[in-house]
Formats: sequence, structure tokens, C-alpha cells
Amino acid sequence: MPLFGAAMHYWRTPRALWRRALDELAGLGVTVVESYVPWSVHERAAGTYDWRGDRDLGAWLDEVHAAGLVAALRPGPHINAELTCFGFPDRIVRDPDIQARAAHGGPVWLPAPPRAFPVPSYASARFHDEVAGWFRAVGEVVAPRQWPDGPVVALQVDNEPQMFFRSGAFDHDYHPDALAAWRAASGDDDDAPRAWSPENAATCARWVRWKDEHLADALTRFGAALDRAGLDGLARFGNLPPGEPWFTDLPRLERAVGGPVGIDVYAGAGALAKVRRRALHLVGSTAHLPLVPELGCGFVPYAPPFSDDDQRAVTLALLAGGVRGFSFYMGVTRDRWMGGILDEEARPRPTARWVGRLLAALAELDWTALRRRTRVALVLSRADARHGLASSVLDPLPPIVGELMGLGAGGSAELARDPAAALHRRWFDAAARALDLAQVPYAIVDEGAGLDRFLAHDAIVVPTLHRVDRALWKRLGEAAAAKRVVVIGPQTPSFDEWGEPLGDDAALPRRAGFMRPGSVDDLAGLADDLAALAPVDDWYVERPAGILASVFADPAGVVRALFVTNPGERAVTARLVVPLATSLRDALGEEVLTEEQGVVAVAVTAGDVRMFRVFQKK
Amino acid sequence: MLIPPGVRTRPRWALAIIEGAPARVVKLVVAGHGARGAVDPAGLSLPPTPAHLQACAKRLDVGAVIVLDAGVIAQVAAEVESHLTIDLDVAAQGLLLLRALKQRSGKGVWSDPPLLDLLPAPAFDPLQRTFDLLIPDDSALTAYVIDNDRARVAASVIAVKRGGDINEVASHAALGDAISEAALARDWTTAYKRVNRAVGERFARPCVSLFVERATVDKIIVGPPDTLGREMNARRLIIDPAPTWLLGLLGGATVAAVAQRGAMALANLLPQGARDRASDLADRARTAMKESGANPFAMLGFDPIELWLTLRHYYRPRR
Repeated sequence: MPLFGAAMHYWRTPRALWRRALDELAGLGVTVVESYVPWSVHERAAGTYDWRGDRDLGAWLDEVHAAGLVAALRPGPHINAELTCFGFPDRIVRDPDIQARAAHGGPVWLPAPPRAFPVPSYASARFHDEVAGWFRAVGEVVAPRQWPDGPVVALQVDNEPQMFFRSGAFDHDYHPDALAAWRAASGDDDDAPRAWSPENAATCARWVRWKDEHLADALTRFGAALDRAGLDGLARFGNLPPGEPWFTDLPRLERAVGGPVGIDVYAGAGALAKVRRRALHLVGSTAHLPLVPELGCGFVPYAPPFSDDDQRAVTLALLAGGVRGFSFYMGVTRDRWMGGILDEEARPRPTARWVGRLLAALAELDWTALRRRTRVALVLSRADARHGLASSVLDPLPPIVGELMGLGAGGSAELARDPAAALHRRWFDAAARALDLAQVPYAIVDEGAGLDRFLAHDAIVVPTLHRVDRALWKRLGEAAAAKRVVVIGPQTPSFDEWGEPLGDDAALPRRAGFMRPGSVDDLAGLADDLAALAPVDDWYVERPAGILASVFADPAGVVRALFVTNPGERAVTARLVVPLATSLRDALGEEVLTEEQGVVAVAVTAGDVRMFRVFQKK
Repeated sequence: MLIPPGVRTRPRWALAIIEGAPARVVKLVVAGHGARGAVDPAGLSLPPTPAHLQACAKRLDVGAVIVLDAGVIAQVAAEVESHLTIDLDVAAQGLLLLRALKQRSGKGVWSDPPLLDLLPAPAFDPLQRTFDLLIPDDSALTAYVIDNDRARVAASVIAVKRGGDINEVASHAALGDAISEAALARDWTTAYKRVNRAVGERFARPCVSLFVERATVDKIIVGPPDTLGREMNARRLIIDPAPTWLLGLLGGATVAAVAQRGAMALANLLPQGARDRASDLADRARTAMKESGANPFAMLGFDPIELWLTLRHYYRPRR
């Protein structure tokens, strides 16, 4: 079933409008409606829940079923939804046994308008007991409404798990239960590190990675609690907050959730290049459906607004990257939110026009069956990034602060005391830009992804300095043994992710190629080198440089869809080389373009993406 | 619109982290437009005196330089978090942070321009009481900025105060079905009354409603203190309704500006002694006005008008 979803918060929409809203969404081509199920909205007192009136989740699900839709639910425990205290009941956030602990020993406050609140520790045994109680209450309402008896097909496990956005290396969590878990995992009786120490660099980096493991462990426990609540028959998924992929271990979280972990995207057209790169990482790394569980449609009132054009361009950029499922957030507008597909009276907003056209085009194309052809994998490895995060001069501030500062290709790693962190990011950025320049279709594969994700490509490019993740290094050896071309450099790594010599594992992958030391500042030269990794495609942009074409084919290899992306600040007319007898039909408009002597001229405004259906005469 | 032009056109700045005794620069980064990331730490000379910061800004071609001691972020975080409670609102949280930073100004935090020294950090209670005094509960504040060609509304905000808080905020989109944006922008000097009526019907009784064209905003920001009054007289700015305290402030600003211009004109004709006596008289008049209780900002411990007169320096074009 295609996952083209939209969010509707039942408790924020008057019950009398539920059916109209659901029918409108279904009429636009939405297949899945999703909603949070917020703990604080339903809990009146510990163990007492209110499921009446607009809060009647069961009745809303019955309406979803009657409207011919299916439902995905997100019972938390973390909700956000712009709710005060992110949907945690007051008694939970006020409980000292539950509160996470900062390096300074006190609670960890998250400033989230209109209030700040102390976040819970995901290691706290007491917290997990409370969550299990909440999930039991949800299970009583939802279990009888699981597909096919009802509309519920999927559950999201928690929400944007990233230490509540406070992901600085030594910010938290120093809760006693977390420290006990750290000691058990590290086999070390010493306290966890609370600041960067170059003499203790390996332990600091291990602490950073342990926090990824800690989050994965919490998600596993939440999943088990959902199972015990009678919800074990539903598909599971997760989501990551907007941000760079360097700081989240997507493959590990997918294993913990037991399903796809997607990315949430709230961006304007000015960020198309970043959006595209996040999509390439998701598509290259997930073991499941590449999914965007929250695709911004509207915006929070206290953040910079996005226009309809922004949101359409970002949606198309994600699809151009290969995203195959998404859910618009919001489908129905509501308090603490501006915009959405429908207004608060469940009437279509102007946004509904392009959303309806897009969903119709995706359905006609059988979008989830199409794949982007990629021959090259660019590997995102985190050994240097972890040392960069641990040695950040802005700690305990999270890396997102450094990313927002706009520090160039090195991003927040420019703030690291460990110089390899920024240099590695610059090399990764150079390789990505060079592949774009050479018009080599590529995916970004996370170092933690399964071997099959590596072997799905003919060539694997891995920027390396002096350290590399030992497991990744072995995997590259396996890929080379399976006759894949492996390109590393500019340095040959001799240490593992903790700074230990690679020793017996140090052998280079067979027939490894190298990026030249000066290539980081010679994009054209690097592009020439990397172009040799893949044969010239039948489809490419002749000019101008910087315009990107993404081609999608069906299982038989027939090209069905084409995206042309202009991430620049000036409108262009791109000359696109296509096979003879090709015509393109704008998927969101009426324009039809036909090739002349193998070339199509495609006009694309600044910061925009165009999607075409492809027709080829035999 | 409220971002200083220098920041708008050259949003590039530098951050330095220093540590140790004697202090050394461990990281210097150039952020923003044309970012260079980490650069040679020798770009900043220590100690971080105003002269050294200004030299660094010039050398790196940045609009601002911030210097932090390596431990100060963790210290400030610990201090602020120790004072937070779950019922503090955003303004109270922000004041806690500002106070913690101001305490470290020159002792762990340095900047050029020295904004921390300029910005006051009043206690939350006087701020709330002043807000309550100026804006009654169950009323609405409305502000519209119209594009210079009167084609559309450049920005709009409708804020409702209830129970001491701003608890509802909307834009013209909330009134768009009753008053089309294009019609309002075209005839805003008369159509504003319909906006006020709609705000009253849909939100709350308007307490302050301001309507202005964009070019006028720029003029007011950098012009002399009586620009606001003069633009109102010329109907390039409409504040309707306007509370009594606001009209009083505008009148005072006009009188002060006229006196200042007169004094400047006379200055060249008067001997130094007479100039000093006139200046002293003006200062005493200003103090008397402040102490009379007539100033609606008396409880704050600082005068927002004087603060603005200082800050607007940063809105003027740089040479």
C-alpha cells in the first residue's frame, strides 16, 4: 500500500468535523491518516484516562475506517506536537526519579514554547514503568481496531529520539540508571566522562556512541511495552528530527524499532541541496521503506514561515532523492500551527491544489515500485564525527547550534578540537559535490548499514583520514572481495574508531583506488576522477552546471519519471539530454516537452524542482 | 524588517573560544555568509579588549566578534538550569539567560559590538507589571506593515493579551476572508478601520493598532526621535487606537527633538557657558519627567526610549 499520509490531530479538531476532514483528505489521494496519541491530553490522574468527546480516539478511528483510510498512530511517550511539556503529564516531568540528569547534576530543561520542562531520562526504570502503563491504556482502545478489524496499520515508536535535541556530548544523561547502564556496557567502574579530555579521547568517543546505543535500547523497551499492550501485530516505524545525518545512527535505530526509521523534514526552498543530501542518505541507508514521517506542510508560528512554493519544492526534492513514503504534517490545521492541506474548518486550503495533483501523479506512476538508478555509494562514516562532537568547544550545546551558525562545508565539526572531524566533513562534502558535478547518480550509505546496501552499487567511495570504523573497514574488504570498486583517501587509515591500531585488520581493500590529497580543493579534478566510476547515463544535463536530473525506472527498467532540480538562486533553462522519441509531461501542470535531436529544454525557477512523467515511443 | 541593515547585508561574524592562563585562542571560526569555518587563531589578539576585537572584525571582514571562555557555556547552562521552574514563561527564561550572560560580560564573554553591556536585564516582575500597565487584559495589539507600492501586506501581527500573557497570535490571514489583502494594502489609510472592527469581532478590543508603510519604518528607525510624530502627522503612519501613554511619549519625543534641534542651531551662536547651562537644564528636565511617574516605563529600571536611541546606531549605514 502506498504511504502517502497526512496528519490530523483528532483532539484538536472538533468531532463534528472529523468525517468531513477525513473525506477531504481521502479525496485528495491521501492513503494514510496519522495522529499522535498524547499522554497528557488523555491522562486526568495517574491511571485515569479521558477518551470522551474530541478525545475519543476509538470513535475517531472508527470514522477513519468508515472513510476508507488506514491509520498510523504515534503514542509517544515523547509527542512534541507543540504541546506544553511535549505531551508528558506534569506528574511525569516533575518526578525527580524520572528526570534526566545533566553533567552539572541537575535536571535537564528543554526550552519549548511556551514553557521549559525537565526532560525524562530514557534510562529511568520508573519512567519505563509509567510508559508501560500509558501504553496499556492506549492498547485497550487501539487493539480492537487493528487492521483488518479496524484501520490501524502502524505505530510509531517514540518521536524524534535524539536526547530531546540536547545532543551535546557531555550534556546528559547522567541519571543513576543511565550511569549503571554505561558501567555495564563499558565494563568500567569509573563514572562516565563529563567533559572532553584529549588524554581520555577513546572513552569520550565511546560515551558518544554509547548514547546511540542507549537510545536504541530505550526504543527496544518501548517496543516491548507496546507488544505487551496487545499491539504486537502492527507495523512499527520511527522518525529522526531534522538535522545532519552525522549525529544519529539510523541503521541501529531501525534494528531497535523493527521497521523503517525515517527523517522529518521542515525546510524552505533555500535548503534544497541539504534536503536532497538527507534524502540520499535515507534512501541509501534504510533497510526498509525510505520514509518521511513528518513532511512540513505549514509551520509552527514561532519559526520562520515557509511558503506553499517552498513546501512543494522540498516535497519534490525528497522524491527526487528517492523517498517513497511520506506524511504531510499537517493535513488539518490546528492551534499552535499555521497552514496545512485543510483549514481548521476542514476546507481545502490553496495547498490542497498541488498536493492533490502530486498524489494523483504518484498513484498513476505506481511510485513505490519505481527506483532511482544509482551505481555509486558514498559512505558516511562517523568515526571522526564522533571525536568532533566529543571535542566540540561549544559543548554542552548540541551540534545543531554549530550547524545553524553556517560554518561552511565542515559544519559544526569546525568547532571541534580534533582537527580530523572538520577535515573529514570537508572531504565528504567535496566527494558529494564532485559526484553531482560529474552527474554520477549516487546514494549515501551509512557506515552501519547492512552489507547488501554496499553491494547494491558498483563502486563505493569512502573519504578516509587516519582513523576508520573497524567494522566498516572489514565491510569494505568484503565488498572489494565481491568485485566492487572501493575508493578511499586522501589518507590510508591505520587506526580504528577508538584510536587503536588496526593491526591485523589494516590490509587495504583489494584494488582500492585513492582520492588525491589535493582533490578537496579541486572539485573539477575530483569530478573527473569519480566520473570514471560509472558509465555515462542516457539522461544528463548538458548545461548549465549545477542542475541535477534524477531518473526513476520501473522494475522492468523502463524510465517513468524524471526530476530536474535547480538548487541555485537564478532561474535557468536546462538543456537535458534524453533518449530519442522521449516526451515529458509536467506531473503538476499541463506542459508537455518533446525532445528535439535528443535534447529537451526545461525551464526551472530558482530553488525549485520540476517533476515529469516520462513517455517513450518504442 | 527589524534586523539591522549591516547584519542583513553582511551576515558574517566570528566566534573565538579562549582558555587557560595566560589565555590563548583555541578556536576562531568565521560563520555566516561566505563562511570560512575554522581560521588561524592568530586572527584575534589577546586580551579581548575592544580595540583587539575591532581589529579582529576588520581583519576577518565580519560584522561582529564574540569571544567566549571555554568553560563559560557549561557555567551559564548550570546557572540558568538551577533557576528554572516549570511555570516560567519564555520571557522569564530569556531574562534568566540574559542576566547570567551579563554577569560574565568582560569576565568570560566579550563582544564587538558590546551588546551585552547595552541590553538591560530587568527582573521579570517589573516587566510583567509594566506590561499590565501599558496593555490591559482582553485587548488586542495589531501591527501592519504595507509594501511601499501598496500591492500587499509585507507583515502583520495580531496579538491578544489575556491573563497577563500574550495567548493568541495571528496574522492578516485570519482576517483575509473579510478584508482582502490587496484592497487593504491599496487603501490602507482608510481601510485600517475595517481591520480594527474585524479584530474586535474575532479577537478582542484593539488597544494599540499600528499601520505603516515599509519605507516609513526604515525612516523612523534611523531618524531623529520626533520622526514618529512627524510621520503620524503626515498620515504615513497611523496609530489608531493609541493609548494615552503612547501619545504622551510621542509628544515628549517631539518636544525633545525640537528643543535639541533649536539648541544645535543656537549652539554656534552662544558662548560655551550658556551652552553648558542649557544642556544642564535639559538633563534636569528629562530627570524630572522620569521621576514624576509620568514615564510609563518607570518600573523597569531603564528607559526603553533611551535604549532605542543607543541601539539605532547599529541600524545606520556603516561607512
